[in-house]
Amino acid sequence: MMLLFLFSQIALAGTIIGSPHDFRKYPWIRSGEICLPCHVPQKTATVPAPLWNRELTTQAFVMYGKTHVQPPSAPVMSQPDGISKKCLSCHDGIIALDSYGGNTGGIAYRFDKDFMGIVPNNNHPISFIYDTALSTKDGDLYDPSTKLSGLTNSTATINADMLFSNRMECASCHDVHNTKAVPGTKLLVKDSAGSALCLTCHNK
Amino acid sequence: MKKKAFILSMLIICMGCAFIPEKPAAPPPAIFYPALPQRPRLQFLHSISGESDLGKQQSALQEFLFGKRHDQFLGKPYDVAACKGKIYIMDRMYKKIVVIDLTGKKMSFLNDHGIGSLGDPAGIWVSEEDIKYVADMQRKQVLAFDENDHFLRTYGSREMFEKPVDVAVYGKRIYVVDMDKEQLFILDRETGQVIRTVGEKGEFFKPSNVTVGPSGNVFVTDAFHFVIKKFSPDGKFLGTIGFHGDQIGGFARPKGAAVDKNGRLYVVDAAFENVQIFDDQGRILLFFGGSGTGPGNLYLPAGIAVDDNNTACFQKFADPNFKLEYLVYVTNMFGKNMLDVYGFGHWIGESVPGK
Repeated sequence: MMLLFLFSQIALAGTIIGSPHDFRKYPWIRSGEICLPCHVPQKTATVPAPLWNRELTTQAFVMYGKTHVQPPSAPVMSQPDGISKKCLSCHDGIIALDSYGGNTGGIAYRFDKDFMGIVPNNNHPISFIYDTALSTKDGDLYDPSTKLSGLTNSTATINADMLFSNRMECASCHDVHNTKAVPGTKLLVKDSAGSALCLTCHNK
Repeated sequence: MKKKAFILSMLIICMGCAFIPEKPAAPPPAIFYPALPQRPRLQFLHSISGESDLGKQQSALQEFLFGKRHDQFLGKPYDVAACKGKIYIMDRMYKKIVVIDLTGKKMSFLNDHGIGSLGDPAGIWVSEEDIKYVADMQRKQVLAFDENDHFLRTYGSREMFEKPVDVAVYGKRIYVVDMDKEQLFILDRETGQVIRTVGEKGEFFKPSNVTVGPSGNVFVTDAFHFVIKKFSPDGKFLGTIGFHGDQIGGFARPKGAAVDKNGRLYVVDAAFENVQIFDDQGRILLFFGGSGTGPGNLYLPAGIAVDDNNTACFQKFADPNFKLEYLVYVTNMFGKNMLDVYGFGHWIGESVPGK
């Protein structure tokens, strides 16, 4: 039993067990079901309630119902979108750190001369399309469709390994499940020593 | 001389503009919950993201004479509260309280300074007397500001709190949730002394919000247990509302909560991007909002408040067949619509199905 307790306290590389997203390390989690804080269980029961909308007794909700609520063709996202919304629902500054402040106010990001949105406190923009066209336009970015990501045990491109529907998101650099994150980092997919992570995409 | 003539002619043109009645645009279709032909209970009314959404127009003449007005905008609104004539927003981007003056149609920051400076504000509550109570995670205190926005006093200390994230006030009691201590504190409003704490036995898992109902019952969002816990004014546990799940009535990322004068509980869910309404027995009645960027949709919502005092300010946005009873404000952390205003009311038009 003691061994089991110790086991749960040690962060294991390559697994969510013991990672910052393993909330079982807190004494008040009794169920020990590690996935539940982020993933909602599916229920199918009919709701016995005096519903005001009578058509909805078996309604099931979808988390972040519309992935990419902004047009897929929009190269510049004015707001965080897609899978990054999952991160931001907890990382709101109250429940968990909000290192991402949003695309409003603060420092203007520019790719070449095209306005790229505004991000405060040196936050990296997210939810924007990073493709060959952008790298050509910017001049200081590698082409994500040909440049290899350089992630451990991978021979795939940036696009294949790090982008989501051609978009850069929180999960491009952060591995929420800690399956490939570098130990001792903020769940980064690549060590930031020597700015290796930045230089994956930025040709400086 | 030529310049003066130009200015004069501009003035005449501008004044002329002011007298030309604008062609009324066709009103957008009303967004009801539930949608017609069912009997609607709630209507989406308006979004406020900046000063220009408050309806104060700058005439062309004013712009010509004084230059374009610099509007104040909301940044990342988290919590919201209201009293007569005012809405207060706890804005996480500015880490300040934004005061929306509905009468003067303007926005400004609550001028916290000196000993009353805010560090890292999280939750806000406003009493009927317009006393503002703000939970501050950095100061580990609750700060109070009077009806003129002057600093009044603090509650608690670094010894008492770890991470006070929200506050609610009822009568002589102040309720504070501490997310790190996992406790609900009940303080005396006069003395600031702790009357009781709830949660020492691990009852809560990251409690994030607190609100009180019309009879003084206390509702705590037990965020990672995915339920709302209900307590008597003395802190006696009365039951839970909701469950962890994707079925209607369930929660995935519950946050702000508010109770109307009939005891109906409103709960924001940031993952489903909606608000669910429960009756005073905890039974689900309705949900509204939903993911998207359209009018009435929510975008990573967080805070909610019910407002009985300012309905008249928003009646003009309501359908002629829909009589407003009170307002519901919901904050969105992102998206173009920062503060969504809904009206709870009743249908007074032609007969529709539903009780």
